[in-house]
Amino acid sequence: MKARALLSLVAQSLSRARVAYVASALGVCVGVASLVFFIGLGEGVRRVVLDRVLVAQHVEVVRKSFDAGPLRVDSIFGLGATPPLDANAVAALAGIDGVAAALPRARLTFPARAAGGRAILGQDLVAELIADGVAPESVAASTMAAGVSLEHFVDPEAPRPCDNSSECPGDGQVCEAGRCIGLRCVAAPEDAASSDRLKACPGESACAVDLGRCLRPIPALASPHALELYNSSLVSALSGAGKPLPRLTPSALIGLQVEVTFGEGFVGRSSGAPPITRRVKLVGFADAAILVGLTLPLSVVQRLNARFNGPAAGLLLHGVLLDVPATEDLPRVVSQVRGLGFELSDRSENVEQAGRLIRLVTALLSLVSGLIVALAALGMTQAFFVAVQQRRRELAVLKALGAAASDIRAMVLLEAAIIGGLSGASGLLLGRLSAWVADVAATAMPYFPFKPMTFFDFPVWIWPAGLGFAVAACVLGASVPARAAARADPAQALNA
Amino acid sequence: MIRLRQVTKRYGTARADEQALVGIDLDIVAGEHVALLGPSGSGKTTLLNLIGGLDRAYEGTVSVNAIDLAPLSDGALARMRSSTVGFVFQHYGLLDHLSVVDNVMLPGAFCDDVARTRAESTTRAMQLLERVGIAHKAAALPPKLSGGQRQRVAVARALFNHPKLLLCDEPTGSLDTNTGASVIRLLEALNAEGVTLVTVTHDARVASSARRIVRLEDGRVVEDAVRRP
Repeated sequence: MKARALLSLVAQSLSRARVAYVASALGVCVGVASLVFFIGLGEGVRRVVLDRVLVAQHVEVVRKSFDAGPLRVDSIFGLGATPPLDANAVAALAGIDGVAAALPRARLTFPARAAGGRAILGQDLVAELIADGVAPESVAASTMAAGVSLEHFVDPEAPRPCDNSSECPGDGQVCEAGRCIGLRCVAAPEDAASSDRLKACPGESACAVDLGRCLRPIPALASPHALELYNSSLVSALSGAGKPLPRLTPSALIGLQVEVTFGEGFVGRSSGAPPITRRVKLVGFADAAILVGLTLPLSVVQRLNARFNGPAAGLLLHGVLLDVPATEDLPRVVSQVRGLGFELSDRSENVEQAGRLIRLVTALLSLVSGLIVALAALGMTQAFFVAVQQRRRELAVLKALGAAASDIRAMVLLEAAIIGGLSGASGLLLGRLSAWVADVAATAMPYFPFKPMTFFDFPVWIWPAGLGFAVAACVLGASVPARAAARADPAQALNA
Repeated sequence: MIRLRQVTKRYGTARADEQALVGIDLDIVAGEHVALLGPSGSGKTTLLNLIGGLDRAYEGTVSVNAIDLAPLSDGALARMRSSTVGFVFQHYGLLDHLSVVDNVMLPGAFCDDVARTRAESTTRAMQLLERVGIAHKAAALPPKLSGGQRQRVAVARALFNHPKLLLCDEPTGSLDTNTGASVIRLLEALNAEGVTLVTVTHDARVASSARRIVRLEDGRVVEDAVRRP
């Protein structure tokens, strides 16, 4: 049969019988719409929860540990001990396919206290400091500091060779014995205000009493998610009935300096060495930073850990943060991490479980949508059976005029494909429209942390897949009636 | 042109009392006009359907243009119908949702032997409508036409692919006397041009226009007579 004639016959047939197919087509349309809606919602929620809230692409690897009553231990009587997290482990983890960067992390292993914030908050706040350290060069190589300038995220006490003082970064730094070092400074009397003592050095540098030298501030990174949490929840909770705290922007916070006492906090005082005071300056916001607290250069943390807890503590790594830019690589990366004898931190385990849960819920909702389409396809079967029965004589005439069984089958299937295409396209449109309406309705909801601009994320494949699904369902639904029509005895139909 | 040998057609079971045709032997040469007569249920239409390749469940041999139809695939049989046979039915068999001219062009959709553009098809259809005298109704839908006009459209459609064989099943069965007469004249004219006509009829006028009468009773040929001109 000629294609043009086939199309023409099908178009005329559909135009004549459009009402008969509306109910089934509507079912397909609704099914595809809900499929698109739920997949879009699932992807959107996955993006917000995994990418923004839980930052799934940043997997934290730790040593395997075991529950031993109220404690977690690295091994039980020497059994089950896992490899140490050292340079070799970092190199092995960095070598996993899909890992863009491996960031070794070390936590502060002693108490510390931070004070400051008057310039922004109108009052000084004093709080226990939670901090960890990452290697600046690792952060720079990862996606965890996208858009962040890391030129100031360097250890101020790191050796810096020089020939003369002009090669040193200023702020009281001079060239002595071939390396940059802070100017000598004298501690102010004990009864002087701490800020007066620290102002004894030029520029941003402050006098490190224990060293008798001016030191530039220790740079720190903060998590953008912490800022989000502060602005959305903490700002109202902490304001109380008194003076309200302001909402903060990254640009307002960058440059903020606080005075940190290492070795002494609210929880106690380190017995390993006397406390020291340093200035810490916020230099940026990056995903690589610890969620609650500040992230310092790794060498600073290791040096401080060694000072307060001995040389061995200075070499200790507490975890390795893996940068896995493509979330679809995560299952394979996680599997290889476990193969190396390590495990994920509780947070990363939660991420994995959350990802699984979201995928499961999305799959279930998609299954329901698929069932709607399948039911519609059954309706399509029924509609086509009726149509074929009603057109029995007409189809017999076409056979008498030279149509082969395959022509009749092609006609019926093409009708189904066109209905599927039209209802599928309508479904895609309806699904997208429903998502838009849901987003508009969500704007009326109160703000909450990480509230996205849209709850939906439609992957590109959803459009051809949705259309293909609708066409396939309709063609499948019409296949049995098409076969029946093709096999019908024309002589019998003409004589009926 | 047509050759049937020991053709038997059964309906349902193999019991003898359900045989529609029993051991039919028949030869029809090209250019003949044969009228198939007989009472209802005698097997006339069944015989016509076997010759046209619409019914494949039979015993014996049916050949058209020296081609045995039994071994042909569905596609090959469809091509044979499309290129060689034209059908005219008692109830016209027009598609009500297509215009008259589209109905006439319909056989062209299934005929791969002749490649025609849409314009060429339309021209051919209009020529045929002109010939059967209803070109002025080309754009009309069949339900708007009288019975005679519809049967003329059906004849025009049957002629679209230049068939050598025209199979007519009660072509005047639904028409009044005058209209029936004009259709008979049309068929006579086609036969005069060399088209082989096999017509199932109860109409004495149709029978009288045929040169050969084949009478069936209970599925058997009981008379096969050629009229003297």
